[in-house]
Amino acid sequence: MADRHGWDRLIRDVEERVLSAFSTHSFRAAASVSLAHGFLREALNSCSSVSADLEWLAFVVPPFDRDNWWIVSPRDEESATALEVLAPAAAAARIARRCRDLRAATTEVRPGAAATVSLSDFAGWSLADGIVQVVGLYVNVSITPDRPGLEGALLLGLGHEAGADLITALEDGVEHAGGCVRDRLRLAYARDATPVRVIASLDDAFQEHLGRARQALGLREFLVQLEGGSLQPVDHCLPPAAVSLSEAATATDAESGPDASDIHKAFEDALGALRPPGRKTVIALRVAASPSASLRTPVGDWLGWCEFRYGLASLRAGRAVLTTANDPTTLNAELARYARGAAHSARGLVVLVPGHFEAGARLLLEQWRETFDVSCAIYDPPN
Amino acid sequence: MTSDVRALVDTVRDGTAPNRARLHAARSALWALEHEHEWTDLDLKLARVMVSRWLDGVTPSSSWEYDLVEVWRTDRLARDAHGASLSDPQRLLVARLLYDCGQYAAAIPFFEQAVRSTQISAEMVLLAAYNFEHLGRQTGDAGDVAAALELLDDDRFRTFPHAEQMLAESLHLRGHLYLMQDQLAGRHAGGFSQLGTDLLRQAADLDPSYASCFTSSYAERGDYVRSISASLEVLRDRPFGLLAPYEATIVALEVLFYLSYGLLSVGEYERARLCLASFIEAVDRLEDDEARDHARLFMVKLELKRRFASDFSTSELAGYYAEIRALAFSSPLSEPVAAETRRYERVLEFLMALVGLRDRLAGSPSTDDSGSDLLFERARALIRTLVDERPSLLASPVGAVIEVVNGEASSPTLDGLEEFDAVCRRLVTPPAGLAGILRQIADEHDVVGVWIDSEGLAASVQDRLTLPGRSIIVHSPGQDSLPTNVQADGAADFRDLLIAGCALSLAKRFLIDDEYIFGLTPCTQSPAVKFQLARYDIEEIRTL
Repeated sequence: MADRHGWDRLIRDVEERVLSAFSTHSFRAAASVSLAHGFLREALNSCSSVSADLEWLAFVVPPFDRDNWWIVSPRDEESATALEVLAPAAAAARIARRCRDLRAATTEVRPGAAATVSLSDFAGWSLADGIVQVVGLYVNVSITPDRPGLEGALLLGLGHEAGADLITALEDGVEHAGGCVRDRLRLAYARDATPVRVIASLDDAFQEHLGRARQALGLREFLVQLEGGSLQPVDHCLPPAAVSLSEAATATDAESGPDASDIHKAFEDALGALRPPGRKTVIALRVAASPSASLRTPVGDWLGWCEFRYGLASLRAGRAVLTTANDPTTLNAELARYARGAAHSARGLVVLVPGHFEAGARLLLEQWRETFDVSCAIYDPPN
Repeated sequence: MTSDVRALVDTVRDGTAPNRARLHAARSALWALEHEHEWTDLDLKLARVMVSRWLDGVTPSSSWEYDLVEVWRTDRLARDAHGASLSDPQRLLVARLLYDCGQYAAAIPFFEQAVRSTQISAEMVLLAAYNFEHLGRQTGDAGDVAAALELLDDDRFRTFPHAEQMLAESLHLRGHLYLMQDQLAGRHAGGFSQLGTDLLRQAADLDPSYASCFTSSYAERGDYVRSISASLEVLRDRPFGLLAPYEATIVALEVLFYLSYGLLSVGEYERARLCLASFIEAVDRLEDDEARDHARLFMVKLELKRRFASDFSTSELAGYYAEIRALAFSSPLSEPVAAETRRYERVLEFLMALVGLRDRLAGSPSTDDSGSDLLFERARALIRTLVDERPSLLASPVGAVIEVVNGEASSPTLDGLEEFDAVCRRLVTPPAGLAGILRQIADEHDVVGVWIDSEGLAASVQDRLTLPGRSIIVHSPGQDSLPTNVQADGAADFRDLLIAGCALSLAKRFLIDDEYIFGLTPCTQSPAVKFQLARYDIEEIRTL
């Protein structure tokens, strides 16, 4: 008879196989997204809000995470949007092919006319380590017969290996599809004509990949815009009167870490105090001693939640650009871009800095004091 | 019928009365009716069926089914011979009783003639449509859905008294029917599910009793996020506040129940647990045992879904098993949920045997085969159940076994696996082809076994028995197993490992699959089912 170790190996192996398979192809055509927090919900709804104009919507899903399922919400039947669920490895080629097909179809159908292909939207997010790492990506594809290619803007971020693979593959794929994609993107950014909307949560790996993608695509500017709209996180929607649900809401709020208003106030105070007329302000905000650890709260990602609220408030007011950096190169590049004033009139740059990079960030920021008013606001979430 | 008998019947129907009193009243009432001169044999049979239905769950039914079958057979024989033996009102009463007993196919001819009459009430048309609906859920026959939809013409319902209420109910039922049609039509559904949701939304707008039907319709389509969103919206806006207080509470609880289902499906376990706990607490206060058991089933589902099966101890699994076994769903409309509960029983029986055997092997290998025999039997039972009842779980291959043979490939020879063809593919290869086949099938199958019968063959392919990042069940005589593989000790052990692996794959698929189980709305007193319940009374028999 096989020994205990053999049985253990068999059991674990089969379970992992099943779960892994579940992440790359659904047993049925439905699916979902984990509502680990309102952040991801926001991502989903942002997708939905533009999906009416889409011909195609791809969801890229990461390898299975044992504590979270992914499911992608199916599109309405009346929508013309085609939905595909793609594993990261397959995503790029499919996206490239689809972009090429869309362009060909448009040219063929509307020769000579200034046609616009429906927005081709790519949204990807990753669930890893029990949290949502990322991200929505929107690719605005505006194609006219005389200017084929992607004229819109593109950026994505994905966490961990899946993100890295996807970025690498997507670069190749887009390159093949558009031909002049990078030029168009540079052009678009130079003109500051196109918004890029990225919904992102932060962690080291994400930052690294985001930086790589930015460099690879040759973007001069990258605006991270965190959109709020009218959507609220699940726990804030729970009705107080509904059969003890208020208790549920209270319990989850208590677990979710510090009130986002605290961090927001820290930011507001710093921004208000340090902004002399005509000067640009840079605020480095240490968001956690260990971002990856802080993200593993029972209700998910408080850091992402803070960022969401934080960025939303500042960007609504048009005052600040929110970005992130976890190494000197990235931070330096961020500051240089901001110093050049490329493409935006925001009066403040907020850099979210993970705890391990705090000292390095302080040193580097010192070198920029002639250019900026610099503040390092420290915020440590309680464990 | 005398007032004394009337009082006895009322006691029988009183769910709050002590069971002994109800049973005694039933015996007395039937004895009295048998001594009424005007009561025919048919009348008495119908009365016995009614009493049995009212006492469902209080006492095991013995003869009432035979009574009903006899009525049905008598009527059929009479019709075959010389026309109808029952009047239309009698036929409708029999139809309601058959429907209430879950005998939907048998009820069709009794409904059929009556629903064509212009005299029929809206309630009876709806019940006839529900009869087709439930039958459709049992059989998966789209024809039944179409037959139900045919009965639910808007124009017809506008002519009935209480037109708005009837129209709302018609929209409600049509909504569910279109959702079912979508499921039955599969890829060719063409928007039925969206239509179903739209109709349920309209029904809920007209009558908030149907609010949970609308919010859960997204989940039925697999769109859990929207189901959550819609549930939260309803709980926030509380449109059901327009209903009577008790009904409003029930609807709120139903929405909460489906909210927890949505949360559970997207992996929000803690929130789902909180919602379910709130629900259980509330329905306990309302003494709705069936609703509570719905939620208890979901609590167990939650625990089994969120963890690796291998992380459970046998005592934990035994606790869940006891919990599942204690659940009761007596309403015929809850049959799909009861069936799902039975599937959970099979899964837990298998997992208990699996984890039990593994734990017994701790320390030194056991020579006692009783654990493996039990495991094999449990695995076989589970595979049969899930293959028959959940074929969607087989959408991707489960297991494969490769027999390595000398010479050219021939048919598989390994005994004892024939009955598992649905879950375990069988391949034969010469040694040279083994690596290629392994590479080819490994990505698709959750369980892979390699059977080598002779030492000579085993030595020749030993270095090919690897798959990156996963193990292979191997029977390789005379060879030490690679550390990553699982070495079987003989044919029986190989078969046990292979079949247990396949059963575990299916069990895990079942546990993480969020297939919507359509059952009675969790609360038995729901205002959403007010037209689904067959109503009848003994006094009706003599006025027919």
